[in-house]
Amino acid sequence: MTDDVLSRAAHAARTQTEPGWIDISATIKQRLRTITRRSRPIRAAADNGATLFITDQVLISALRVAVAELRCELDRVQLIGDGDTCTGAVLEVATLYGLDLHALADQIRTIAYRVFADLLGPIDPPFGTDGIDIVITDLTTDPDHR
Amino acid sequence: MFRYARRMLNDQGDAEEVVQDAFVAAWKALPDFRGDAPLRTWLFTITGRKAVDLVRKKRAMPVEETTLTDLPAPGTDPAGQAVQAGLLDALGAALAELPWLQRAVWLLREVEQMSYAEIASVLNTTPTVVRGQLSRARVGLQHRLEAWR
Repeated sequence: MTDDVLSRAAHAARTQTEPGWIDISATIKQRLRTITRRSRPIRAAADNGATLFITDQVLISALRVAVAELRCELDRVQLIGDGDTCTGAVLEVATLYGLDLHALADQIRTIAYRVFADLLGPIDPPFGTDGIDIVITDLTTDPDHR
Repeated sequence: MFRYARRMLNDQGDAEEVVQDAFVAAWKALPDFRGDAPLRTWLFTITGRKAVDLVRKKRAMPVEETTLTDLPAPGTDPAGQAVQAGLLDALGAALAELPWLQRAVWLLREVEQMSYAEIASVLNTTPTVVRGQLSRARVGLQHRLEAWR
């Protein structure tokens, strides 16, 4: 049967080791190590009071993980502040249809503030949960595609 | 990704370039990756776009009809490894004759074993279109691999 031939061909294509892949993957890794991503330094305070800087990418990654715990997906983050200071944020999130959005926004605000406090330390100038605005940008019924 | 690119482009060097570019693009865009599609689907989407970019840049899409006499003949021992290699060569030649979308759909379904929804996401189309293209691709490949029955 020709279908058998097609199945056999697909199976062979699936199981065949791609020639040269080992060398190519090494080249790709080498190239990726030379690629940089632009980031913004944010002023933070260590436990001993010393000033340090963390990138906005670290903040956003941590926010993404934290927000995901609330069955939400972080869409965009806008950090507010002059220069290297962060005095608030606007979080755009997508979530599931049918949830109480006001309550959810409060929860996101609380959990996001905890991330800021953990990563930035004592924030100067200080801001509270009211410094974090939540915008719901998308609602979905599919829990796998928030 | 490399396997997909190689079968889409039918060229090892082009596939290497495309996969490199795709990984670099993915790395740069990673902070903006929302995660509303699985990482694998997202990476295949980027790979597909890079492959299209490369084809547009380098050459016209292959459109000529090659005859079945161009296909490598199967060996005398159907169980041998040489036969499998020949079959893969024939598959590559047959795939190269398919329209781009049919080729992509067949590869993503039959080789990468993605669902219709995932394929639709990668190719920015609908599952209904995927079903139609897959059916046409199967007919086209069956015709071209007739000699391997």
